[in-house]
Amino acid sequence: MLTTWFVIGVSVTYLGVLFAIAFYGDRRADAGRSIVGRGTIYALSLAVYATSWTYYGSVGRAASTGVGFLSIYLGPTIMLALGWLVLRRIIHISHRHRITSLADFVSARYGKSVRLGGLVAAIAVIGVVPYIALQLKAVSNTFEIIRRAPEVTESSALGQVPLLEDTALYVALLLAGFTILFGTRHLDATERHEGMVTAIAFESVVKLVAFVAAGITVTWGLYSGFGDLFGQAAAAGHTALFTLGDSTGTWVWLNVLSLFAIVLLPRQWQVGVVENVDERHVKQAMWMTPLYMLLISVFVLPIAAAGLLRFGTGTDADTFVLTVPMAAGLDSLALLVFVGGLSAATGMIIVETVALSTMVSNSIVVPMLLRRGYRGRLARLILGTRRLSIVAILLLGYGYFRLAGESAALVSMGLVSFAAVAQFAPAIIGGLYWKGGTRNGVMTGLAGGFAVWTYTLLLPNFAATGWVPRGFLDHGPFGIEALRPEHLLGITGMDNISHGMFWSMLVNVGCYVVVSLLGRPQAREQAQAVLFVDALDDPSRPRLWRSRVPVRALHDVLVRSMGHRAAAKALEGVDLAVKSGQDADPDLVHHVETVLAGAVGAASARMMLTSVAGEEQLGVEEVMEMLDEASQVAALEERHRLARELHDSVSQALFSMTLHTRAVELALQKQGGDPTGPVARGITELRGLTQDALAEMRASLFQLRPDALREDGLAEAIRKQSAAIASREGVAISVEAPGYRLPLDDRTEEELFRVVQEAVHNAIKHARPGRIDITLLDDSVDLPGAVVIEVTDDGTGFDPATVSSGGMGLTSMRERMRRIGGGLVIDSTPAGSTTVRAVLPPATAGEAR
Amino acid sequence: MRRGARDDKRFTGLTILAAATGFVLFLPPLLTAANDGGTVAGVPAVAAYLFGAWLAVIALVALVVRRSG
Repeated sequence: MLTTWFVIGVSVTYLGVLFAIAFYGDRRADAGRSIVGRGTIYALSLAVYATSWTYYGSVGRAASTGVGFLSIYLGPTIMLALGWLVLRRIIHISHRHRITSLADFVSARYGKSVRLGGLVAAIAVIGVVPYIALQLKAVSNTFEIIRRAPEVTESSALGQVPLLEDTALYVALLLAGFTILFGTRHLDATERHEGMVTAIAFESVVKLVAFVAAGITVTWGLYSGFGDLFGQAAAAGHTALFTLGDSTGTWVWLNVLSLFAIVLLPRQWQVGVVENVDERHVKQAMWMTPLYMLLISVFVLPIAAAGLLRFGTGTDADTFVLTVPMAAGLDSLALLVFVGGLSAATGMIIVETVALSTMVSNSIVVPMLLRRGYRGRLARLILGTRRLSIVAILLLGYGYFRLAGESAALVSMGLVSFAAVAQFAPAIIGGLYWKGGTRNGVMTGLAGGFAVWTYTLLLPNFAATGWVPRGFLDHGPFGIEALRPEHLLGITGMDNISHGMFWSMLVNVGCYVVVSLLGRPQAREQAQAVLFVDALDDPSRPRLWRSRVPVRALHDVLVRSMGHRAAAKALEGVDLAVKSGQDADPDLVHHVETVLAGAVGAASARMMLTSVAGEEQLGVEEVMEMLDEASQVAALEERHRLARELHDSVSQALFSMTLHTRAVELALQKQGGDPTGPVARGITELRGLTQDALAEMRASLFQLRPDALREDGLAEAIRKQSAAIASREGVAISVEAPGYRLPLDDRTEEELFRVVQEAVHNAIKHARPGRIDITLLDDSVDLPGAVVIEVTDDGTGFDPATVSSGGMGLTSMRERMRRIGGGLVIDSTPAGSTTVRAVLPPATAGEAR
Repeated sequence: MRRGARDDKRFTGLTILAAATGFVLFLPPLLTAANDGGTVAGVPAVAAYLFGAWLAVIALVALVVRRSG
């Protein structure tokens, strides 16, 4: 027997635990000991995908369509397997440009368009609010059912609960409080909410445990295993359980739909992209999240079978998870299931509202205010907007639930929401891999796809709720049969989701591609396209700001939009007292824009900077410069070709010349020629000149190929470089190095090479030596496992103590060694020689291999 | 090409392969072959097939991830 107050007590306690966990997560993050720095937490937080709609609804679907419900999980499995290709790329770009929402991503990709961001945000809100309503309905219904225990009530018989007695209202209000507390704690350039993520991961564990516990108890407690359960179901004629349900066409479409949903639903984007702290976590989520989904679905079919056996087919299968344990008198299990459902609903609502509120504030409200010339303090305003939109979105969801809650139509809103966010797929996937997509293409595609979605999926839903006359559905608008929303052009034989998806995707992709191909992108769009599509290949980014902005103006903008503390943090390392009057260099402007983008969105950040810097002058030349990368690559290839040809022809010829002159010299000696005579001297000189030419040639060849170091390895590169310097400077340089290639990584090789170069250069410049010895030791006797390089000269030394540390490039050499985890020792006396010794200790050397 | 980038390309390629395997296993026509309304060890055949295929794909991805370190 569960009394109402007991259930309320448990629910409130559960939410209290959630608050405590979120609080703890935030505290840990503040203390710098983050717990979300683990792949497991990331994988679990992605499981926010499993909402109360799937928690209860999967069983409902299974009761009528058998394993048909699995498509909702199989699509995501495929998408997550592609995680390294797609999700990681999105994360990479988002982090680099401080993109904090899906709307911002689309807007940033297509030239930081304000209108586009607003459109995406609006579609997301319209598409997802009914989905939030669905969660509230689940909470409200299950609460009503469980508090009436042991009597089992069907949710259809519940009727509308009076407003003030409705649990969903209180849950909505409590969740608004939670979300405001942990989702908008501060305005941060990264928009990460570690406490929230920790709580979400915890909720994922709770719902899994609850569902699996119910499944095990039903399967082995009430029945004796799968065989018994399905045997009885077969005997009772529940054949739907044994099929795939629906048509295979529907199955395919649902797979495709959920494949996009796992990334494109605002909550998935929030936990998967915005809250991601390390790209490598994606690797873990690629298999762990699907495994989670598998575990939570194993018992769906058995519970559906048990429910059908107990209550028959005419009943509300959506609450079987709850009613089967209740009917068996397992009250505590029913309570656990209720808490699991509560966690599924609350997790979804929390993350979804945070994601939507960021979109609303950054892509709709702030740009609108800036357009109107708002000049006040933005930081507080943004936080206020977010808090207000959280409350507004939750109340909207609740209002929708109150208005449409009774109809079965609300249940089908889950898939309709999936179809709404799938409209973003062409813009985002296309934007990642296709440079040709333009802003106008996306605008028309999105608007068209959304219009078709509204017509074929949303309006029929309204019709089912009774908000739109039904005749419209059955006979088309104005009686035009070809325009029936669920049977456009009279097509039949497709279910409404497949039908809606087919038409909306056709229009969406079609407009996107056609308009993009026919139109001409603006310079800025092209620039952004290059930045996004080539994100993984190109570590440097072009400087886009060419206008002159005083540092002070930048500081003011930062203070205005993020507050003093955040502004100071963003401008760390810039001496404001000295520099505030000067113009900022393009790098700094870019940095400030990126930081701002994190707080207010890419489009707004661009607008704000434009307001202080004037319209930026992004001319055709700059864009050409960026698009010229390809020609740079071509130039490199040309140099390679040249180097190869010179090596094969001139170098070889010079080499044979040295051999021949040597032969002539010897022949002359044999014939008894005068070794001091003019002929002999001439030939010796000729040989010297040829050898010099050969060394010079080799040095030039080495310099022609910028990645020679990478190709030849450290030892060989040092040898060639030394030969070049030796012939140019007239110094004898000996190189002693192992004949094999040291197994070091590229970066370590590069730094070590530069250190040697610098040391040799220093020696020649300051010590005027007669010879330089370079020794490269891998695994030396006194330091096994370490890599040691010594550069010794016999010139005039210096006292290391008196030379300022900044002089002679010593700082840069030290810095280079420090970067790769090694050290530098300089041994020199004013009277004697100098030895520069670079040591890479065994541990680091091992790691760098 | 750099060693790191080559490993990354290889890893991406293998995961695409795993996803493609998922596509082939989860969608018709292979799926229709299992969808005959029968049972395997008391469990609906199509469910047994799908869960088996699903587990196989997850294991494949886990294996590729583990190998990549």
